[in-house]
Amino acid sequence: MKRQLLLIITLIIIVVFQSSNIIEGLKVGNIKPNIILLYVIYISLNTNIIVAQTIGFFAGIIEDILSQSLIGINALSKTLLAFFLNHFKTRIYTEKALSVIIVVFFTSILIRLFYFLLIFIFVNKVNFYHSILKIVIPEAVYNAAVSVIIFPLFRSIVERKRIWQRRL
Amino acid sequence: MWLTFLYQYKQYLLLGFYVLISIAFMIAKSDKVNINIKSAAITIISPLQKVVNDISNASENFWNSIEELKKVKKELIRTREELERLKEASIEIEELKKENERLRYILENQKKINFKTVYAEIIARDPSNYYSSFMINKGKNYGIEINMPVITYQGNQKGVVGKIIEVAPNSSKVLPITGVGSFIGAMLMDLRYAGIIKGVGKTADYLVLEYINKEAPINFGDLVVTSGQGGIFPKGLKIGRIIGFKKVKYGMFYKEIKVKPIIDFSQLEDVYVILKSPDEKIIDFFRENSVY
Repeated sequence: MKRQLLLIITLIIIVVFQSSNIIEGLKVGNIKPNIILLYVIYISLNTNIIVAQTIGFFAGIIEDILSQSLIGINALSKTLLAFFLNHFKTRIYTEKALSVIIVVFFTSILIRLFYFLLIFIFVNKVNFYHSILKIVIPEAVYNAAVSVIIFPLFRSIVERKRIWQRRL
Repeated sequence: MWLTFLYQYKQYLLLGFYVLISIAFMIAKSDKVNINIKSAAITIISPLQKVVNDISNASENFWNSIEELKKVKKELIRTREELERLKEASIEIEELKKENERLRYILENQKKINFKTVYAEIIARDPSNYYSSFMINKGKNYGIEINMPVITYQGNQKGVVGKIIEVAPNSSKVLPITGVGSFIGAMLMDLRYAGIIKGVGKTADYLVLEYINKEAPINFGDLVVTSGQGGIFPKGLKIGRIIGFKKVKYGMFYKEIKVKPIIDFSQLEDVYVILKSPDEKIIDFFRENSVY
């Protein structure tokens, strides 16, 4: 339970960081890395399916609240992402940086396409060609690059927690 | 038996539960439900965002101070006179001077606006790469309401930034004119042809001015201002300048024009919210006609 609480607190910190002016400074072109998505991917690959889905759902719902987007769009896409990624996690070798980069790259693309599909259905028309070219692919590349640095950071948070639990 | 079933299929049940909640929110799509939930959540989260923003500013100031000190050191070595002068000037006075200048600048700008305004700083940006809304540090407690216009000054240039779309007691969310879903009544300042200007999001660095008569003899660089017909923005605020045309989509009668905003949104740090209540009748009229 305490571990889940830590994961939720970490999530809130990440969400606040993602919407802060600090991350605006990390923009390349008009694109910033999606740390929330990276966190959901990491949790999906390294925890059980219940925790993964819950983190995915809450990450999405908080992102929806802070964003201009309709509530539920990110929640649905991140919950499904967490479910499927966790389902296939035994087939993904996450110890190697290259496999992490590939997983993050393709996951970023798939989730964004699903996200734009939901916007198209529930909100308004989307220029898919421009969105893929100017948002989806650059964001996926940036996420993949940042994952090399941020995944070890996430790992240290989770492992520190495990050591702390054993001491108790 | 039920418990066994629940335990066995808990992951699928939980997935179904989350998916149902998400879809219910999306289908409900009600502005009031969405705004109430968002407003409540923003009230809780915005203090955290303020803290992060303050830390960010403090570290930036700290870094700038270091850079400044390096320059000062070089100058000290160069001349003795400057050394004497710089010895007397403390960092604190320098900071006060800067603050004084900034406040004077804000006051002068507020005097230039005919409406009562509230000065606000940007404390957070939309976490997604698709939308471009941002959060400011003033809300209901300062008299801000939904659909109030937001403008800013860059140099001596006054320009439209956007409108308020969500309000919490001490923070508000602004939809910039460049954002997806932004529609403003606009017109060509010299030719007086009126149309609607809309944001196309982060996929483009221009706005699109629609419903301008095809016969209008427009020129590159023509200024586009608010027409005052949307019920939100006062008339005559600068929006941007014409930089090109798009293919005509609406038969033979209208032009689609590309407009570059007057305001450089990448440099935007502070804004002024005009305390002008929106004309609900006009907004309802446009809403019924699916413009907003």
